[in-house]
Amino acid sequence: MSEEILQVSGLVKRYEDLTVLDRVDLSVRKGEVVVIVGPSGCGKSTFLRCLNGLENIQEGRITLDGETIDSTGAKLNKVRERIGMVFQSYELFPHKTVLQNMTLAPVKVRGVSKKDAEAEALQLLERVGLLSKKDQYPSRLSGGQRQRVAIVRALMMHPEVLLLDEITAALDPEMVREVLDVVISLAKEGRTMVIVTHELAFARAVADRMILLDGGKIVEEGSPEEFFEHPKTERLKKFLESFSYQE
Amino acid sequence: MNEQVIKMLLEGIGDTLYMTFGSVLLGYAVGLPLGILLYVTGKNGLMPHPLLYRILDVISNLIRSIPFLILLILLIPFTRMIVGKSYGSTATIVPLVVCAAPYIGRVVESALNEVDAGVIEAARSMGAGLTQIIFKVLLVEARTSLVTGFTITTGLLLGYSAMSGTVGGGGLGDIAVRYGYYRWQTDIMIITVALLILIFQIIQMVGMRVSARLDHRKRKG
Repeated sequence: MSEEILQVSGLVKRYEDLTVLDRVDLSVRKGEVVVIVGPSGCGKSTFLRCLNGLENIQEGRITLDGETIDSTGAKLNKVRERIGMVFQSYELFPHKTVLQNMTLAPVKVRGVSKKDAEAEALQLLERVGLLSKKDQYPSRLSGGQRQRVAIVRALMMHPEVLLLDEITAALDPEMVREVLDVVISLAKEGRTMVIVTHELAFARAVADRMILLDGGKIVEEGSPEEFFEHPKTERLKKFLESFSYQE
Repeated sequence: MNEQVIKMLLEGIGDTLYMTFGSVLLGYAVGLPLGILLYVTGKNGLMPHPLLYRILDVISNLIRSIPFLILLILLIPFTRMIVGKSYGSTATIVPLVVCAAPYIGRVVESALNEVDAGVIEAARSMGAGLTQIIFKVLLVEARTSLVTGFTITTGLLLGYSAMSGTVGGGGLGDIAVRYGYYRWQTDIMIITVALLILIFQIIQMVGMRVSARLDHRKRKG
């Protein structure tokens, strides 16, 4: 069993009276791919945002390699550099070209030389088949292309953990595949990822561990096989049924 | 038209441009940081600070609510203190800057508010700090609106600089008042007004072109 890299214990997130996350515990091992599914509004996106300190939390503790992630802490930015995040709506910088989008953070935040950053960016673009788009602005790209750029942009920071927040939810169906293929290839090379998605087939293919989040709690977790073939809780059975069109 | 009048008009154009752009640039020297500060300390800003925001908010609203002509007169002692005299084009720049800075602050704040919050989050998620987000993301992404705001502000100050002609401010407005109004030389007044319109149009046109060229948000044909 490899070492644990990301640990969450007793995480509570409240918006005024509404408790979105209710004492969530999770521990992610190095190289593990954890996929979180659940109905809309179950708190899964909020959970990912907490992992990156984009939301302040009311109780609990999140640590990356022993370093606490605290949305108010001064060292937050240092920890954030080590956790990459990809968003549902890409969030590319509209006034920067693909290449500039990718090199901004490594150059300004990590202090890599522009030349090295560009060389790395070109390699990554080549890998996702977008080398020819390097000087284009995001508005010229399709949704699928934008999301692939967003993924490799996150990789430019050499994150130890990658958080993917419903990265195909805003895409046209025919573009989903090209984005998910990139994620699957990342999983194969042993990247640690926490993924929130509605694509169950993809989840099954990529996950080492599945989690069902509902009502701000982890309802069930297990290997993809257990999770999809032998769900233990009624809640998970019902959730899986809502995706099936048989009978 | 005799040479003297032409010379006077040319000088008037020079003075008007000097007052307008002088006050725009100095206005931005104060207004840009003010606008950034308003944005950063605002409710949805990067570092919300209700008290500081409130103070800046009240001051900038207060100044903006004073009619320019009144401000021009109210500030005469202050202008004299800084420039040494209260008339002429250099002296006019003082009240113009005082009037413009809070206005520019608001224009900048609203331009920054237009930047997609998601993009800023993406920068934060990559570990970018406050100054990196301001200078590398916010100001870059807001540039189209910033240029539009700059154009509108320049047009406004052009008009205000002409207004200052009524109290001896110099420039085309001054000529229009002295010759057109006090001496009944309607032809000179019409020419100065036409020149003001022309300058205004040029500023507006250049500003909008630059702004459109800088805009990469939309797909272009």
